[in-house]
Amino acid sequence: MLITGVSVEGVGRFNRVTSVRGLGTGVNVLAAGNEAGKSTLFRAIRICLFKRHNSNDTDIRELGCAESQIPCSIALTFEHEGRTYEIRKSFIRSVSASLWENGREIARGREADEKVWELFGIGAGSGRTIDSGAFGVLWVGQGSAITVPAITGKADAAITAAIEVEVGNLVGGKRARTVLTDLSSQITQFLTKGGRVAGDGPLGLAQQNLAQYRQEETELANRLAILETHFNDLSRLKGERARLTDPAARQAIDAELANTEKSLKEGQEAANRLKSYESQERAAHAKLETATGRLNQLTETITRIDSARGREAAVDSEIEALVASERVAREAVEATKAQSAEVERELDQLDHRSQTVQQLLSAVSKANICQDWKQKVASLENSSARLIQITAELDQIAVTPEQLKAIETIERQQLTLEAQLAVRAPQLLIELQKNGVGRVHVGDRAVGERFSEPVLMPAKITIADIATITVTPAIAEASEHESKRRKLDDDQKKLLRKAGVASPADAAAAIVRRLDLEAQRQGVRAELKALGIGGDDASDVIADLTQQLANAGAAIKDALTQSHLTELPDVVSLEAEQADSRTLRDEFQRNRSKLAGTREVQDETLEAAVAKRSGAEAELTELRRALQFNLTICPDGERVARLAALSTAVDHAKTTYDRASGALSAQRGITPMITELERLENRYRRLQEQVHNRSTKLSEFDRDIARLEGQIENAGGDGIGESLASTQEQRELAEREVEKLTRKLDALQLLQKAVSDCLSEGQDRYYAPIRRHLQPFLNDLFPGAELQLGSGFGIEGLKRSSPQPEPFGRLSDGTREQIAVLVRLALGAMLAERGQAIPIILDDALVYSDDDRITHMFDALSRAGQHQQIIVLTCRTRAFEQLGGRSIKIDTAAARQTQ
Amino acid sequence: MKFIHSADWQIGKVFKQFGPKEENLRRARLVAIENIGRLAINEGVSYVLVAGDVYDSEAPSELTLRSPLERMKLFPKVEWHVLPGNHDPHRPQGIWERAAKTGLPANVILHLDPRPMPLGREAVLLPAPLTRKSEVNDITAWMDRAETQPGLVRIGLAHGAIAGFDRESEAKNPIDPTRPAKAKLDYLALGDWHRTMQVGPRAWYAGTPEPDRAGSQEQGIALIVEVPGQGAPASVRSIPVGTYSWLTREETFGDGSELADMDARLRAIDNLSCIVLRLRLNGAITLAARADLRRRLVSLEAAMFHLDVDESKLQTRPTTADLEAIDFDGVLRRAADNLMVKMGDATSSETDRQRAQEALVRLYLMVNSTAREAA
Repeated sequence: MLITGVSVEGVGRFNRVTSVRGLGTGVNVLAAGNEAGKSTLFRAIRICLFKRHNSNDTDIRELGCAESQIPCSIALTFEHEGRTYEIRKSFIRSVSASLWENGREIARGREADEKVWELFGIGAGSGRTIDSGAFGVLWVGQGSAITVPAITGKADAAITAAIEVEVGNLVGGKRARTVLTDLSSQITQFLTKGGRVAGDGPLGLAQQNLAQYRQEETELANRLAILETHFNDLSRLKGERARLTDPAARQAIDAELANTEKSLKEGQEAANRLKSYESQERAAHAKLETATGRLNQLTETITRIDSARGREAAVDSEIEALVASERVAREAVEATKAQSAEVERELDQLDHRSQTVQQLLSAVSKANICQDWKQKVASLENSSARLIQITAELDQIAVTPEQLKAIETIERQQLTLEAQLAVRAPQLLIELQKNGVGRVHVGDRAVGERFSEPVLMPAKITIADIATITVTPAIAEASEHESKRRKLDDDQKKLLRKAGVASPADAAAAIVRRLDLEAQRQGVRAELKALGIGGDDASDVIADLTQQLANAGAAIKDALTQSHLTELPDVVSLEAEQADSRTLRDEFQRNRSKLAGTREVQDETLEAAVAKRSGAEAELTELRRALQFNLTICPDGERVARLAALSTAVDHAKTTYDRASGALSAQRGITPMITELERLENRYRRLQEQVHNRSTKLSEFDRDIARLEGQIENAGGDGIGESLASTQEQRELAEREVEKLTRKLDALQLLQKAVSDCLSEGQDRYYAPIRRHLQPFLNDLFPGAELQLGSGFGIEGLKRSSPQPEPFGRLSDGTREQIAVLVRLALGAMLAERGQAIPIILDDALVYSDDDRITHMFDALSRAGQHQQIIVLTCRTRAFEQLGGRSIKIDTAAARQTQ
Repeated sequence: MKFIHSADWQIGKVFKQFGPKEENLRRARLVAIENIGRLAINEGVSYVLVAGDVYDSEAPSELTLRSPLERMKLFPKVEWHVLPGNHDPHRPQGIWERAAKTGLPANVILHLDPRPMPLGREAVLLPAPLTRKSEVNDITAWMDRAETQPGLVRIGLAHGAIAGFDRESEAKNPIDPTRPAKAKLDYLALGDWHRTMQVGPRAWYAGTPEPDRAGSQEQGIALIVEVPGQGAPASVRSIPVGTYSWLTREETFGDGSELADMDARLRAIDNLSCIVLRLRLNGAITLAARADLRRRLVSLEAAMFHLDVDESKLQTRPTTADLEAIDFDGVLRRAADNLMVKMGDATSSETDRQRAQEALVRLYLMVNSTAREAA
């Protein structure tokens, strides 16, 4: 199909005949401003082709011209399969339809409506409108370009047919989609969109039931376990209570308690008696010991008196011998003391002489040092004087190296100036014969055989008295030369004056002298430093050395005076005397040590003799005191009578003790042991506690039994066992239900995957023709990109740089609009290839595209225009100038002419 | 001496897997007591010995506790001698003291102590009540020492497992198989084993009067026992007293063509509406047969009281016709083929193969259901 023109009247804002002519193959661009009526024309074309002429639906009513009473008329001319057609329809008023083929009317009214559809293979539907087939996909109304074309109905059939011509049909695809829809519906009952188990689905509810039953079962089992524990506790308590209340056992315990109490009482009485006998026995024993003690004391006193008397005589004789020994020891000590005093005196004399020799040696040493000090003082005085002299001479030299340098610079400039002048000045050359020598003078200089000199200033040549010739250089040069030379001379004079010299040569000589003096001063300072002087001033050191020389002289004089000598002996004799003194001293010291050892032994001997004699005297005194004391106790005259009386008392006490001891032994034989009494006491106490505990336990048992009975009654009456059994079965049922539903879900998911995989595999092959046509257009905008096509020709995503496709819904508006248009271009190209060329109409599309993208879209549109008709309606006149193609316009004048 | 021997009433047992039908089964257990009472009247029997486990739980609800007592009370001429079992042992403040507190019917005698009790003038009953769920010792041992008047028939009443015969008993509670001889018993009435069974010349398990599980007693039974005199052998008759029969059947398929025969066999069972059937299916069937099986099982379940089908051992073996019924070619057929491959993949787990099988069955049913709906 190729649309060649459209004409409308009473349509929208066109209340008069308005037409668009000149449409042809390729790209046609109708660019006009807003409200020019582009979209009205687009809708008019659709309605003219696809609405019945007698329809009065909303689209047609809205298309009508509100303020006009004329019919809504549309005439569309087009070419199809080599023929020219025109379909004319009037709507709303004076409805009519007619179809013209190659200028001949071939159908009218309803027949005309349907004949057109027949031409395009889009048969009438059941209603008053038709499914516009592929036209609905390829004709994009205002604001619809951004949406992907929904390919259904006849459009689906047309595109599917085009695909299947190339790749055959996708067998079972529809049935598979039906199954998948059914499976998805079933799985949706089980799972949420996120793939989790739906809480309100059968599996979710079954899992919740299971969890609830498990919890209930646990709670009931715990309660039943507690009840079971109560039952067991109650049985045990009742058993223990029965054992405690057994009469036979109780009687046995009571009898045992009474017997134990009786045995304990008897034992305690016997023990008390035993204690009394033990007391009596202890008293008798004490009396016996007292009597025996007194007798023994008297006997011992008598013995001590007799013994003291014998010892007194022996000690008297010992003291006499000890006094003699003490005297001998004292005499030996005195003799040793005298020998020691002699040795000490000899040593004192030796020390005195040694000191004198030492003083003399020191004086000799100082005398030697004094010689060195005197030489040093002389050197220092000499160096100091030289340093003063050099410094004074240096101070006289005013020229500095810098000044010398400045003077030499001026001198070099003077020479340079002279040389320059000499070069430029006339050369005075005089060559004389031998006889002329001495007769010619230049100025006051006599000329030899040859004279050559530049004339820098007027020169007077006197030839004997023959003539006087004056040679004058050029005035300008001479003047300039003179001026410079004077300035240099002035500068030089100032410098020489400042340096205090007469000439540059003097200045140079002064500098040489200064350097020499500075070198000498450096040498003298080095000498002073070698003598220990840090700076230039050595006067303090010299004064110090002079003082030391005086001190040393006084010391030497003093040594001579003390030695009664007039001059110092030589060192060798002094050192020999000193060695002899050391030998004598060593000998005296050995004697002194030996005498000290002897003295120590003698002192100890004397001390021991004194101690022995003192001890013997003290013992004698003590013996006499004790003897006196014992005699007061037992005078010799009462000794016999006292002995007899005390012996009788001892015998009596012995008899009393023997009697008490016998009675005690007899009682011990019949009294129970203390351990036996303790055992009886423990046993009695234990039995009493047993009786008491039994009573306490019975009370506790009664209380516990009552409590347990209450708990069992409360817990056992609500059918807990029955409830647990019921819950266990419900839990098992719930587990089976969860298992069954999980199996079902697994099977559904597996089936879904199996069908989806097979369907995807088929779709890949099925969509190959679309992809083939789409790829060049896609490359125009997105080089290397690939579109992911889903079921029903839907676009799932765009695969660009990343391996994962970008979901179509997440792309920008501009990109989605561009892709939607590209898909239409591809579908159009595919249909055109199959000989079903349908114009692609874009009404105000590409509104979201930026400048760069729209340029690429123009490329794509141009590519599409090579094979089919593209009609672009746009209000962006300037932007779409780049699209090129055929420019068309709405023509009202032509219409008027037609009228 | 003539009496009825029963046991294991398990009143209060729950049957949640039966859903709304549970109450029928619970009520049937009480109906069994009435049937025993009527049997006693009809047979002229004065004594019913219940050898333990009257109740299923030691802590039943008050209603459950009273229910069997009220049923026994309906037959005042019959003396019901009731023994605690391992499900309802006698313990202080336990179920039997609770029952006593609610007021026992005069014709119900509880045996809570091991003490001889005369049964009229002809016999004496030696009960061995359990006082805990599990006894280590043989609590019937006291019967050996129990002195009774000469000439009286000695009848033991106990609940437990005859030693060496306890594979299915629920608790240890051992009983010496030579007890009848050692204790000079003329009859030992036993409970615990839910199947009616003679376990010695003079010892019987009565079995439950109303079955409660598959693979055990199929029909509820009570025993009528007659002992002519001391030392004379007892004659025992089994009388059905239950309402529901618990059957187990197994069917093996070669390809599914046996479905009609199976259907006929199962429908031929007497009193189908009171049948609780566990049906185990083995072998392999086609997808078409599987669909047919589903329809038949739905009908059978409607005909019976309950049908429990175990298909875990039943394999699906799709035929070419099955697969063509899904599609001759195309997406669904390829999906079916892929699932077939997974079903036969020996490297996959049994679970994965089962899942593939179930997915294929669902695909078959969905496609055919869709086709039917479309038609």
